[in-house]
Amino acid sequence: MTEAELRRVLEDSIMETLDAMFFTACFGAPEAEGAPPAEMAAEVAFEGRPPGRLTLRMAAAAARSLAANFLGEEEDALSERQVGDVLCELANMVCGFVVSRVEAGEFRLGAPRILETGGPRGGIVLAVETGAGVLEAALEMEDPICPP
Amino acid sequence: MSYRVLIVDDSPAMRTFIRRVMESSGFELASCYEAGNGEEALALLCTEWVDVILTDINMPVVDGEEFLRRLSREDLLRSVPVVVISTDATKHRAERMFALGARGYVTKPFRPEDLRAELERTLEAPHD
Repeated sequence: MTEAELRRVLEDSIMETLDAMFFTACFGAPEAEGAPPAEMAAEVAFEGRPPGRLTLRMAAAAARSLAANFLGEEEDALSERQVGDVLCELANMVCGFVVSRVEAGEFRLGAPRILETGGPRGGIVLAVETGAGVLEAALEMEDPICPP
Repeated sequence: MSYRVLIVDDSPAMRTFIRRVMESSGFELASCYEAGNGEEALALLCTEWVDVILTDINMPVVDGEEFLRRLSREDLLRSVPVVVISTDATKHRAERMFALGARGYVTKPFRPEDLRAELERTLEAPHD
């Protein structure tokens, strides 16, 4: 699978997940260049052929807005832990969507986790403007291959 | 008709979401129980009867596959319909879960109406 194809799958994954389960639209690439403030980041590692990891980064206020949509709560009513849980679940769904379409065989997702730092920005990096703010995804895979 | 439902997922956020979309899509819940993995679910099922179980696959302690295996060994519980809700969209995974006894399979991300449709199909389908 080419990098352009992987990037397209990653973009589709983000758009479909936000639309279906966060009731939030995506508006393509953000107008401003550069990474969003890395106030929150979540990572999911996966095992398979090939292994890799996906990292999502976004500003804390944007993550809180998405969490409120997902849980059907007011933003102010949410704890930091709830916001983190939702960002982890978003990373889990985006990662699962991508690897289901990229992996050559069976795969296993690790438990999503919040990163203390902003996380890596290696591999394929994609930033999208959402109704809540900028979301940046980084997909790192070892030698991506096509399914048979 | 209202249903007694058990949601099994290690993510509290996902359990809340599933419950919310069931309620908002008009699915009547008589009771809604939650468990963080298959072991907690089996313990809960010792004391509570449910009409349908919705379970994730990738969970700590007892995952969704092992949960289905253990359910199938319980005379009273094997008849409870199970709908799997997973990020794994591969055909072989769904086939394996059906082989273990699942009656429905929903891939995340899903729309509320997709979940409702799969629940209705599962609950209305004849079974042994």
